[in-house]
Amino acid sequence: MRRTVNVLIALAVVACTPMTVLGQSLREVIDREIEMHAGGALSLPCDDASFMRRVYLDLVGQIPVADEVRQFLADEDPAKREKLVDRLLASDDYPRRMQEFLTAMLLERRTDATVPNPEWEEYVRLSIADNRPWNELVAELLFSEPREDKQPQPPEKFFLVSGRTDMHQKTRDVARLLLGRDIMCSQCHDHPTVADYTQADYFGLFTFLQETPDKAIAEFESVFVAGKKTTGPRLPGGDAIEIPTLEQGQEEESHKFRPRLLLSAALPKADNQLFKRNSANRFWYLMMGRGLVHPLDLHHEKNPPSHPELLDALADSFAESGFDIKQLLREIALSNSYQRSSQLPDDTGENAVAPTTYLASIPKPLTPEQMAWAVMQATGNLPTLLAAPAPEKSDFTYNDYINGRIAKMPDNFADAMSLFVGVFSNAPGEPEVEFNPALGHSLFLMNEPLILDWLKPKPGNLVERLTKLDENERLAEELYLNVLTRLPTEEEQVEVNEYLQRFQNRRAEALGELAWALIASAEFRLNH
Amino acid sequence: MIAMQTALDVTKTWVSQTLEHERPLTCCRFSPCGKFLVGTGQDEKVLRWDLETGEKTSLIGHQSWVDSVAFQRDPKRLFTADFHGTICCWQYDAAQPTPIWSQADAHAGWIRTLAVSPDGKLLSAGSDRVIRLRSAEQGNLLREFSGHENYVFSLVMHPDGKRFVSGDLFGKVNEWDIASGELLRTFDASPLHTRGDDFLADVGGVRSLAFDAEGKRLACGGMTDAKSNAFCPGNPAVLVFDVESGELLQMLRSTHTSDGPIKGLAFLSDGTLAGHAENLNGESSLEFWNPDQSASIHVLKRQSGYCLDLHPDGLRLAAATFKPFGRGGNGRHTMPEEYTSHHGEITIFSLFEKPAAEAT
Amino acid sequence: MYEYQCNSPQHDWSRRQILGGLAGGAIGAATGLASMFEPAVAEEIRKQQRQVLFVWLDGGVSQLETWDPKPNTEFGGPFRAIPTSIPGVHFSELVPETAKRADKLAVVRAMSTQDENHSTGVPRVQRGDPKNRGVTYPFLGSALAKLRPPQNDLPPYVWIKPGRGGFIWQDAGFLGAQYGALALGEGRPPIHINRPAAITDEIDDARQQLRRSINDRYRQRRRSSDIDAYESSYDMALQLMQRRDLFDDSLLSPQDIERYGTHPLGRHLLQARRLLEAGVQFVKVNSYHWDTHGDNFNMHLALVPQIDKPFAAMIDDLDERGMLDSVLVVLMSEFGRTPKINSRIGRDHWPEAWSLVLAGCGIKRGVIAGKTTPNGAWCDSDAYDIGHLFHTIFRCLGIDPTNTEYHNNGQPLPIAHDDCGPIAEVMA
Repeated sequence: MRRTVNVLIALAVVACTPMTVLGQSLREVIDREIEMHAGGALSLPCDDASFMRRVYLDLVGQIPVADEVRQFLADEDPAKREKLVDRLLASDDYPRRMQEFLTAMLLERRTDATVPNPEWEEYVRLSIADNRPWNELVAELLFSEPREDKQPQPPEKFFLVSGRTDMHQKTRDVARLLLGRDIMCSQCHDHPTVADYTQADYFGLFTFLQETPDKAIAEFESVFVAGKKTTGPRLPGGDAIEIPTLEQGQEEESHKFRPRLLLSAALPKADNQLFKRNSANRFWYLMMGRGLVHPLDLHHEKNPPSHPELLDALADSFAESGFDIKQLLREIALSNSYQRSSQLPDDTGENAVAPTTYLASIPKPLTPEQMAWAVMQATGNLPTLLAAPAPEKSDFTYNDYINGRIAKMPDNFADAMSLFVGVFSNAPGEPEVEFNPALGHSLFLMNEPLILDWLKPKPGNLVERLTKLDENERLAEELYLNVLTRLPTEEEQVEVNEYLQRFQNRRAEALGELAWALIASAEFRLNH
Repeated sequence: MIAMQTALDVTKTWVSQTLEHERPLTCCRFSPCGKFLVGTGQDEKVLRWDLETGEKTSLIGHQSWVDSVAFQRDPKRLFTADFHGTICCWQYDAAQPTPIWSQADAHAGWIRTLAVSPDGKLLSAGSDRVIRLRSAEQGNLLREFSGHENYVFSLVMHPDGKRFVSGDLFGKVNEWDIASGELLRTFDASPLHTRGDDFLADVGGVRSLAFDAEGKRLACGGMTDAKSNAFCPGNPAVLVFDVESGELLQMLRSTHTSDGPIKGLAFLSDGTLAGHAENLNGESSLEFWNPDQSASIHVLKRQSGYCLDLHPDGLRLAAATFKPFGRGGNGRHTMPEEYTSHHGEITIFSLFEKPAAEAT
Repeated sequence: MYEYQCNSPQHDWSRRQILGGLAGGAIGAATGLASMFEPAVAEEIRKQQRQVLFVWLDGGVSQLETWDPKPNTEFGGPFRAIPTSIPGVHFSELVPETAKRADKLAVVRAMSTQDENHSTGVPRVQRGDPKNRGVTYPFLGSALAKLRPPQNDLPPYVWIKPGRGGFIWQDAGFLGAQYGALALGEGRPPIHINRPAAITDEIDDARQQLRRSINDRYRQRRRSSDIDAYESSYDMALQLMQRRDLFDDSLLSPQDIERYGTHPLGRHLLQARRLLEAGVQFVKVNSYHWDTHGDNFNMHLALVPQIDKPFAAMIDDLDERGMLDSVLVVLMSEFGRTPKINSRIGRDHWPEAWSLVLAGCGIKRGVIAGKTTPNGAWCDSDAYDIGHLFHTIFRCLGIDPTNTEYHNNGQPLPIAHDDCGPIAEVMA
């Protein structure tokens, strides 16, 4: 009951404030800009099945179950894609998916034990569920007043994670993640060729991240040019903030002028071009597989956006909407540009189309979390794993497991998830943006006993359901719908049939192998 | 010069004399007559200071660092041993001593400790794990004591003159009968040894040994809980055993935080124990304990020290120490011509109230 | 994958990228990461089977207690110098076995590098310190996986290390995770190398065939690079699974176990020999805890023999098998240790003047390159930086850094520091 109410509210919000730019809806602007700069034939719109898999993975981080796919394919409502987008954005899985995405993006697999992971995750999830404005969240990440008992608040994890206690790492990561500028080099000198990155900007931000007013001034000297300079708290390109000199006894004043507190008020604002553009660019990347500015943290004059007007339009309407993440994602999802096929236009050579044109949908690697959800869902083991009680404090760690120090296979969702994250994630501090298939990924999918166990018939799982189907045609359909979110082609029907014929004496095992091959395929590994 | 009737009071300890050298000094001993102090360290020289005149004489004969020194009262002999396994014997009060005899390859590898028995025999031990007994006259080998399974760091005679103990890297302290060569028993000082799972080497060991004047207590110095074999940081500690029962009475800790072993160890005449630790970053300490209480009763913050020796007058204590010279640490930070070794100092502490005349 | 640290002078790549994009449509996509250099050069390189053994004593072994002893000098320490098989050349008494094989080695005694910290020094050294180009350079093993794609499907870069194993993608830098290291914790293979018994060869072939045919269908009208990369990760996995015998300790001879020693470096170097014999292109062997700030002389007394004996055994074995002509051996740390001895009788970090050992493929035998001042503290000849070492290594492996470059999304990048050249004295 409560859930329905939430859905209605969400829909109401969506309906009330459509994102527009000069009278055009944002999605129309997106399509206009992409088409205008295409320089060649565009790919066809993707089919319903591809759309469904893509939008599920992007918005809820999961693939649909076969019945949902069948229903969607059969649905003749011309507005069914829009309805699906709204249904997904209103579901409980959307905040969870965004929590997974934002955690990986903001913390970059850096860890900390002061704020337990569940507290941080709940904080992000609830913020998304309430559709709190992105700038509010960023303000809290930048500064949250510690609780009375000195226990850190969940958003403080952003600065507590390993590595970020260092002031320079802090400065670098705030610049990269929140302003889209990797200004590390500017610690020692103005950027030699990128005029936008100056040492004064670096130290302005460095100073802004200090805890107390007495540290609100930084003296720096270029390694190239002699002469000391100073700066107070200052955003790149902006003016320094005046901090009064405070005497002893002015604790209250001193409290008000804590630089990081002031930063949290100054940075995430609509008039901060860097913040606005970086934010829009990162959510665009989430949906489209590549930033308009790419790499995501290299916004500067000499690495301009592929579509400058589009980036401005996205940034402006995002800001005007009150940094409404859900609205922004919805507009992108409903654009033709998002809904294009990942197959290149017929008459172009396979490599002739640069990804910067967005002529065809850009395949995205499944994130570690998406991979975990999708494998558990595809094999039909998800309900059992979610139902299994997770121990209060699990001893399971990826490293112990793959080094043979833990013999028992994960038997609950949390442990299985941590195994997938261990296998498929990048090292702490390394953004997970590009597709980097490694030997470890394939060895894991081939030989991990847990994966093979999930492909044995168990009550209610995919292979068990398949064993009950005598007719191979139905069986192939069920298999493909569950794993690849589409119907098999004729050629694929034949392949399934032949495989089952060849191994007719071991049909259950053969079914597991058929499902395995789909899971191990590039089509599964990529969100295309 | 020093009022001999003065009462021992470690809480009033003051520095009454310093002797310097251009290399860190790691070993020091007062001559039995009390007139000289011999110090050695990170070069090949054996340094003899006349305590009254301050005259410094270099005794030349070794080819490597010397880290162990022992005196014989009568005749006036000095024994020194180096890291190449050579022992030299000197007449220590000669104007310019030259070796009376020297024994190359007295041990394979480093000699880390020497002791002289009351009947004038020389004990030595080191990396080759064997303890050897030699005649003081010519250095000829009399007996071997085998049983240690790793480096022997320390040797000390029991005041009864019939037995001695030897401490090794594994924390074993063996008690031997000097006449028969028999291993009498073993004290377990293994907390002074650490070998972590990922260590490449054993760390720690019984770096120093001392009996109290009556021979009732045995103190074993070193460090516990080493955290790595690279920085080798640990917690300085002294284990005190009851000699008769072999029972561990106390684990003494330093009050000031240091990260290296206690290599300087000496009992005072009233049973107070003095110990000197070393520390990588910043000062270390000289500490005094009542061996019945774990915490020290008096602390002097000092540079790292590697050896302690009590003057025959019982009122002065010498420490061989590190004396920083120029910048240290990683990297160069200096011009090549200014890059020189750290220095060493023998600090002589007077263990009583500073006389008014001496006060400034 | 992108990690931009100091973007210094050569940062105009983005301009080139943009110009390239305007002129040629999409250079980045067209050349991709697959074509790293001229095809003819690539072909030439592929013809020559060359391998590398890279031994890394992490933390910094002391040059004074190994390859450049200065006995009886201000900083020389207590150890002796002993003669080697090169007349007139001495090593520390702690490396007697290697000293006997000095005539097969080249020792560089005049390394002089920039970094005095481990955290920056280790990656800077192993990535070749190519001046910062705005991208994170690959570690040597990853660089070679890219520049000399091996002729077999074995993992091109295997890293034997104490502790945990896994897949160390960060070593690959901008090249992408597939060029990362396969790390064998304690020399053991990843647990997933073992195929569950229920899957026979026949069944594995059948399921892999299904997987490939699904990929072939997916490939239609799609960019092939993603799919190729994914396929190659499976090919490599299958190849490694075929060679499980390489990790079977029951196949080792007791003599070899004795010769190499049972401590970690001994075991790991013996495992490295097996992998080199099998054809793995780049084997790195790590030993940690050489950072002897405390008790330097006792620690070197205990530690140095742990490399001396198995390293000598390795040189003998490579020589005996005729592999010294095709395997380049590098033995080094991120820096040496301070001549000055600290308060814990340790030595600190010293990038100023230190030594490393080279042998094998392309390396002259029995040479000492460069020298230090009598007190051992400074270089007293031409000094060599990491750039020189990388030029030397690349050249020994038949790669000319002056005509080979990386392409990162169309951005050309030098493979080694362009201000440096090879260490001529050690080149055969």
